[in-house]
Amino acid sequence: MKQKHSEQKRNCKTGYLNSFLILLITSIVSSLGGLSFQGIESLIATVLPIMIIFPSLNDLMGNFAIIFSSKFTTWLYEGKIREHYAFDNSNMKKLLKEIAFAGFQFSTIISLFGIVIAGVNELKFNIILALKVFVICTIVVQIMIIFLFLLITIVGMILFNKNKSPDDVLIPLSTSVADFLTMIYTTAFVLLLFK
Amino acid sequence: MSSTKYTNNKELKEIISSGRVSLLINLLNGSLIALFKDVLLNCPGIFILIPGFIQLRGSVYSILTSKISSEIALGRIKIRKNKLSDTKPLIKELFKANITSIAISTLLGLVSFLLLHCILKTTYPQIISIAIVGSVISSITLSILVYLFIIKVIKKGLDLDIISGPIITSFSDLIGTFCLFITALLFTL
Repeated sequence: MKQKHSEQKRNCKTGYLNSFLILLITSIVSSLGGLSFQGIESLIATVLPIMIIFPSLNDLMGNFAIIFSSKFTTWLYEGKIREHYAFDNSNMKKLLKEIAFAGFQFSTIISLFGIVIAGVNELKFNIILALKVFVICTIVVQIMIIFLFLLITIVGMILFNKNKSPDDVLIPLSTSVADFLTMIYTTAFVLLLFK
Repeated sequence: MSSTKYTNNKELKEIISSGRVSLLINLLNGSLIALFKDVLLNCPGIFILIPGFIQLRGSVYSILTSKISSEIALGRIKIRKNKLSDTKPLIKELFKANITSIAISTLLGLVSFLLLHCILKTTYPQIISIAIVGSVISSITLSILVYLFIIKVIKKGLDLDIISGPIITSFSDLIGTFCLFITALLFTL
């Protein structure tokens, strides 16, 4: 007990040192996504609602990545997800549907707020712009949800089969990939619909 | 499937309610970015710096709050009658978190400069200084706010793990962005 206690104390003391590398890598991966925005900075600056919604979109996808990862690992340890049947698992399918539905609700709210705030800021409203922003937001969120579901299930199963803990890897990996890809997809759709 | 069936689901309700506060704060964050639109256009590399800078602050402060609650549980930080008996360990943890944050921000500034220079063929070394100064300003501001917030949470007898995590990380995003833009504005004047 005493040994466990001192081990816990040691773990607390070395916390930042242990996470330094992972913090650095995840920050760099997130910043790589920003590179796509930097490439089209003048175009992005003209689409004000996209600038307003992008922190919310990133945060939303990060939250979904955390929910997917923690639920998946819990079910994996509880034996509710079996090898080779992860994609066909009823719990995972249900979670995917729930997150897709929540994602739709959030993307609607985010795009609506983005359009309203931009409208107030610029004192004008454009229905075509509003529709484009809504389409980008909804499609990016749904694509990312499916991608995160596949990524977490595949990487989680690989790690579990190799007797490695998916807990340590899945959350930092999925959240930084979510940040990165959300910006890449947003850039792609902005180029497609606004250029 | 109908939406009613989904909204009756407990898990879905938790997902939606947990996202509301951070959604609001992030929309404020986005409005702040839109407000500083000119800085974005006049300061090359800021778009590269922002996502990593925000992600870093959120991660560092979520580690900080979980560490402080662990230290309280382990008895290294003692609480008597809903008050910290010694504030030194808390200040020490804040100091360590800020040193980590400033060190990684410096490296992030360097990465932003290299990406900008090598991929987008734009040379703007000031981005490294913006990352460092922005990080120092936001660290000082956040340290004071986080310190006061933790003291308040303990005083009210609330669970630090549940209350502080989402609130501190969301506010650190907002304050981090604001400090970064103020710094960038000073550099582009």
